[in-house]
Amino acid sequence: MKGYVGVDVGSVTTKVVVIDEEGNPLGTPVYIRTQGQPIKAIQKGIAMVREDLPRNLEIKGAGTTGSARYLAGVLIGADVIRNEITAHAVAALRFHPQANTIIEIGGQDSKIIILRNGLVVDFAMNTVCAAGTGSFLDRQAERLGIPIERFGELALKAKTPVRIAGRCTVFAESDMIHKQQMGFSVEDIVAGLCEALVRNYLSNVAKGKKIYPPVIFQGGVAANIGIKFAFQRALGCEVLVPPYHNVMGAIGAALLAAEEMRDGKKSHFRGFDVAEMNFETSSFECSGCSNRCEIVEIKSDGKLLARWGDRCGKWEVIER
Amino acid sequence: MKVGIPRGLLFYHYYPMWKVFLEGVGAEVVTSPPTSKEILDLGTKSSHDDVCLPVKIFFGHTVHLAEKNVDFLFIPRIVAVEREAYTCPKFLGLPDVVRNTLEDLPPIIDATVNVKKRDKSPLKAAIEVGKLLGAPMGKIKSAYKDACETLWTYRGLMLKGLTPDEAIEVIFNGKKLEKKQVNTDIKIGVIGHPYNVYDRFSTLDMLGKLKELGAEVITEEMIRQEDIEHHAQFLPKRLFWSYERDIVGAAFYLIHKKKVDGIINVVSFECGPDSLISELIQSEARRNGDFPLMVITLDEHTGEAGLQTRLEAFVDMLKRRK
Repeated sequence: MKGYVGVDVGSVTTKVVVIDEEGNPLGTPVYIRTQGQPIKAIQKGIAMVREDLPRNLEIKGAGTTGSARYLAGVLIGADVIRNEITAHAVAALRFHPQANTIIEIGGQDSKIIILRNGLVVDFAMNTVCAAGTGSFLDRQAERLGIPIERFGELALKAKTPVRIAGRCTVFAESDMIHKQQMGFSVEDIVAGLCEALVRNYLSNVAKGKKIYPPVIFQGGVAANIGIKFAFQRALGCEVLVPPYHNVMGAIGAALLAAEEMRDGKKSHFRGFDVAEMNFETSSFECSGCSNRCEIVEIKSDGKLLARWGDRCGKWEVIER
Repeated sequence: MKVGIPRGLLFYHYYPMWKVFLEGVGAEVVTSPPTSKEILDLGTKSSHDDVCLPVKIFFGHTVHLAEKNVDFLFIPRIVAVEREAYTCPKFLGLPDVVRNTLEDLPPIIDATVNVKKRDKSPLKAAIEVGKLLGAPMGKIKSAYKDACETLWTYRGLMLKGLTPDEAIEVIFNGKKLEKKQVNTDIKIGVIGHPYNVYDRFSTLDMLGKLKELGAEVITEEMIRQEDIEHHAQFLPKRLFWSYERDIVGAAFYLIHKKKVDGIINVVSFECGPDSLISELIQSEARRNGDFPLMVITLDEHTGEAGLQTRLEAFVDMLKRRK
């Protein structure tokens, strides 16, 4: 049986999946927190996904995506390293070929992808600000003392969601404190936060783009049913959350690997033993010119796997 | 006499012309090196107001030159380069802003060019500068003539697809003009102020990255002026600023004539004119069957990941569409 590995390393979470040729996940998809240590997270993810794979599985290709896609690519020996937009679009189309809009909200970024006839025709990502993303909700949930997993169901209990400024995390927080002090219920505040995030997303990320159904909502935040309903109210149409919504990037990376390896090339995948390999990273500042680039090196048992960070390319090494 | 020309703002428009003229009237011309972290730091440290990123970079280059002990800084006041429009307000006041912001500067040559006024023509400005540097009238006039010819050569080279840096190499270092091997499946128009588009540091080498991704890049300088003028006329009202009108005209031309697969509009954060023309370009793209367009905003951050992801995704999108 043929399988393809997909790894999506984001700022907040790391996702690892193995899929069959049709794009169905084999075993249990892995979704864990990156906790600022992408290498460890990737190794842990690989170890976890290995647990319940079918016996006769042969890995024919591997792909990576996410903000640490190059690092992940070097670590696992990826055949394709692709951006998140393409990965998410490919995965969404696998489950919903008719999709016209993809809303993706992750830990620190959010995207909108506009599709027509199965092709990406436009996209946008949030700019430097993380106000409309998962981290924002995480932070506010923490403030309210609610586990983020319960956030959505609480929001659904709201009778009249309060209005909270969603433009900026800092202002949203002071606004929220104010509403708390006035005595609004936690449910109404939580629902207000969901609406604030959706408003912020629609005005900052989607910014005037025409959103046509079917609308697919994926990324970690799609687990939050409160946000899903807030989107449905704002858009006036159904919002679909695919079954593997939180690992769609990884599925996309694996699908792209399958596409890349169609002609039977030999995969560079290092195997699931990556989980036990030793990786060390170190860095130094290059003094070759006034740019003072910070160079990062990744080694495994003394062998240099990759080095990057320089603008001129004189240090760059990427071992396959 | 050592005259320093900061490598920023209108440098990319006029440097070869300025250099030929200044050398023709007997000056030695020095420039600052390409923008680096050090230069940007020098610039941000000295700018205490909300000036745009290209101006901060210009400050950095100016301070760098001042530290190199040049006798003069060459910062002309370019008010109007055509009768019907002005340049961006920052160019109108540039020498004053520099003088009042930065300390310990050598004297600034700030001759005014304003073609709306007879006594502020480029030739008049050249004579003023030439006299200041102690050159006789005959020498000034022949230097001016050579300078104008150089400007046409420079623009001609860029029309053929050279970047300003490459064109400068050809003009001054006798580098052979190489026929470029174009072997790409997609073409992308990169449209914005030349001082943004061609600054490898502030754009995090966007042009190089696009090349690596297998895209051929078309910039405003590669488009004939008459095409730019013609397509800028699709605006219901003439734009007030010359350089910005050229940007809009270039973008409209690429969109109307479908000369590229997609356009990247480079704008700088805190740039007033950019915020307006970028909207004009975006709505024109929408009106023309949602022509693929991506806006990239430059600011001081040096995180390459965000830019890399956007460029990769844009190139991927255009390739998969084909």
